[in-house]
Amino acid sequence: MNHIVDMENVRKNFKEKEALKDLNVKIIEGEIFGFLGPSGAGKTTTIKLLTGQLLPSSGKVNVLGKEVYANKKFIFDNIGILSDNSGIYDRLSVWDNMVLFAELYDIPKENISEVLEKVGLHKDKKTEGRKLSKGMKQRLMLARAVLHKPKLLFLDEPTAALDPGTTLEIHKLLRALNAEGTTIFLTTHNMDEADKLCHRVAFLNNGEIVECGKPSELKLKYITDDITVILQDSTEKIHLKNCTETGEKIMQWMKEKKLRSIHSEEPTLEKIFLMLTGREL
Amino acid sequence: MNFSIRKVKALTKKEMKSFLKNSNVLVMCLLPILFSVIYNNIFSGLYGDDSTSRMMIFNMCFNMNLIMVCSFVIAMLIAEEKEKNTLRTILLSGVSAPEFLAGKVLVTFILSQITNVLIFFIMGLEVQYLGWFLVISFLVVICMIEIGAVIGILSPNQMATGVIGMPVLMVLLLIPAFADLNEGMKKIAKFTPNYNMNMLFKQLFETGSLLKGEIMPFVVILIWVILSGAVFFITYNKVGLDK
Repeated sequence: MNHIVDMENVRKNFKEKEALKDLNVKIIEGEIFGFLGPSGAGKTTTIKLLTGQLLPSSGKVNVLGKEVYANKKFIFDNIGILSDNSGIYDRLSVWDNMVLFAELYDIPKENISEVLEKVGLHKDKKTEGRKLSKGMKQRLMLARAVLHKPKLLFLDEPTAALDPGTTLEIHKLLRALNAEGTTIFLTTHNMDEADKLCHRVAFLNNGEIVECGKPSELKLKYITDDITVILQDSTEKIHLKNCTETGEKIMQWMKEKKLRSIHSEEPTLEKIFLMLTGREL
Repeated sequence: MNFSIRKVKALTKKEMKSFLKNSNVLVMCLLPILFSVIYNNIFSGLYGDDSTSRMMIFNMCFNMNLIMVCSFVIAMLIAEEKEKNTLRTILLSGVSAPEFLAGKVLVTFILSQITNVLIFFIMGLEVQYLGWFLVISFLVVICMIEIGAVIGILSPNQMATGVIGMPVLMVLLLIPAFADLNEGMKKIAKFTPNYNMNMLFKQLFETGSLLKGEIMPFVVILIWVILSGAVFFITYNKVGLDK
């Protein structure tokens, strides 16, 4: 199995503070991997280690089969990065912003139109950066991050502070990129986003991974024996335990045609995180 | 160390495209030109049309260009990239810090030399002096750009360039300007690059050449170029471009 990201026993200290404690992450080529945790959990530090912006205090950090810090040029040529503090040149047009990066990556300018088309900014290519809405800026930054067709895309809170409509558009773009073969490393504290997008997720808390797996498997692993029922004459939720007695009760309601809805209590990723860490996001 | 001419060219092109829409930089570049036009047309009449008053006006405008364009423009360009998070984006696209800085230095150098030459002609100086003028101004421009780059590296945003840079640059601007009014000031001014540049211009316009003149002003300016360069490298290595 090809591991595009391989972190082994990684520690990172900032003076006295231990930001990452013995971190082990392996990401398979072609997957969308979600790195979830609250602010200060160590998500951005992990991205900085993976993109050569920081050196680990100890441990191995390999990306695309190479040690990151010693092979920065190779890494930068093959990855794309979009974070909540990426910037655009606001006096330049959308097109000129893209031209700069096309020239830096030494790729033909013809690729720009194709990428702008994908992110829906082609008709706005003459618009100056400062005149773009927040969602359009985010799409421009995404277009710039994927212009050189990176094998691995790092997204640090890509939809933070975006409205739901724009968030959906970004999600659609990310799925399309992934379908074309781009591996995506996504950090977010939005569990709903992770649930919708990621093939696998890891929960990070206080610099440690407390759980890792497919969202569907994690939900089954942490499923509770609670059942929620709503009856016809009420909107109130009735919480019951999954047992013989509950079965008989439900059967009775069904016979009397009183049952309106019945749900098993599958936990959300947020609830699982809370169960594991006692900490809300 | 990675250094790609292609990347420096791309960054310089970007700066040039951005220049005309950057009102901060545009004003900085236009002010010395505007002042040279005003001084040349209004004040030269008041002081008479002799070479001394013309020299005084020329030095004033030229020093203004050195401080405002050479030092402040590069400091603001670097600080703006930090403020707007574009510096991080550029560095994560495989551009090395020396490539990034080379793009800024090149643009600042081109802008300041264009302004210098415009001031030279606005002041009505004779073309025969242009060669020496460019040699002297080249050295002082390099020194001022180095000082400006240090200010840019130390400043987290554009506003901070004023706070950090103003004291240093005012000293370099005001001490040479008041050197002739006060003996103590003159003693200090002899150690500044601008004052020595003024001395060289005086010698050039009086004798027509610098070959037979004093060598000390050249030495002082060269020491400043080397010292500013050293301060720049120390600051860059210690602080880094992007924390």
